[in-house]
Amino acid sequence: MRGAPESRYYGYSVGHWENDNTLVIETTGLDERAWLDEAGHPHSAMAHIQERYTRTDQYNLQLTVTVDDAKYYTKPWTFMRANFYWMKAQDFAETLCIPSEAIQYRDTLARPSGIDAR
Amino acid sequence: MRSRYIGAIAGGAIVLLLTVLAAAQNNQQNNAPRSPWKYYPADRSVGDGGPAPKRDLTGTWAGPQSGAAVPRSRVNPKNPPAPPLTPLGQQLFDRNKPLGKYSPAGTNDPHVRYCDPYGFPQNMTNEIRGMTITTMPNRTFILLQYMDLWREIWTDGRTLPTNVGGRGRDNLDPKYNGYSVGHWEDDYTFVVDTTGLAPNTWATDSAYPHSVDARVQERFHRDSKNDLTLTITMDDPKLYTKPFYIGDVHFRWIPNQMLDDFTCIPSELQRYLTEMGDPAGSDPSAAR
Repeated sequence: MRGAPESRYYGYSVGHWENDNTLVIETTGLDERAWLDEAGHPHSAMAHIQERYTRTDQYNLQLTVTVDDAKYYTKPWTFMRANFYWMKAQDFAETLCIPSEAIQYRDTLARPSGIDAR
Repeated sequence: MRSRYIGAIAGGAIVLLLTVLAAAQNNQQNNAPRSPWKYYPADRSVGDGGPAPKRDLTGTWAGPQSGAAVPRSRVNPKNPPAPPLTPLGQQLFDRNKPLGKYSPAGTNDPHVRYCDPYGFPQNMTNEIRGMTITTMPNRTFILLQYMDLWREIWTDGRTLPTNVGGRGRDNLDPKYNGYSVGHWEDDYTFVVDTTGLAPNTWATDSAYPHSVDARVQERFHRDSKNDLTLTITMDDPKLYTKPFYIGDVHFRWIPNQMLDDFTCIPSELQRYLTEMGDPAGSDPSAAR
């Protein structure tokens, strides 16, 4: 839409506290090239994603994600539920996707014959 | 979502045209209704905005490539004059083939060939359109717009790790962003020290190397409410005979605190190389 912001990989988000323990984040404007999950579920730029983060106690955080995307799905659906636990050291290893390593893996192990899956 | 290689495909020949178009767009922007979700390069902070707040860098800042007429560097950190290299440093430097000296087909810059992360410190000096700084009680985070990544700087008084990448059960792996600690030197200067850098990355766009044990010091000085200056020095005795002043980067406060998305997308880069940049397909081993 003219004058509207471009879609982007992380979309556009707003958040608010629904109660003392639940932060609700609403997101839209996602880049359609990305998938929702490894299974390949699509989403449109108009998809509306709601994340609900509930801190149940000092060390536990629960997340529920709901997808509302009338272009691809007949009704809103719960995309994921996940639990997070407080990390004692508050530090974790760096984990990045390195494209050159991914290409090397593709060419030597995943698809050594070079046949394109598309 | 914009990507670097859409711009690369267009090439430098259209820079002048873009400049003209940008001026026209800016005029249109001045009259058009503003979206709170968009970054407007023409909407710039006016003057210095008054005195800097004390011990506070929090917020979203426009960098040198933001289009917001941010002051230029005195020493260009993408291609700074380096001190004499040690024999090992010279050997590593000679192995690197930066874009500019080499074509897209001839360079072995891992970012240009694959969108691999720049790693620190190059990610503070290259493709810097903007960044957000946010603070927790024991950490400061730098959220870099380009490549959507963050750096974590511990401010709880811990010291930097030693012997990163060495042997032993408790030793740490090198990181693309290294291990960082920070402290306030005075009310307006935040000093960050970093080590443990992934050695396969380059320190500068011009291909100067660094070792895992390099010690990089950043000094973020908030000159005023609207101005932030970063200076970077690297001490890496394995590769350089004396400390290397990499340069300075300036930032300006963004009035609506929004940034555009901008990243390197590997699939688009590979398509660009196949169709335009390197259609003959140079030897990948030579490019790493």
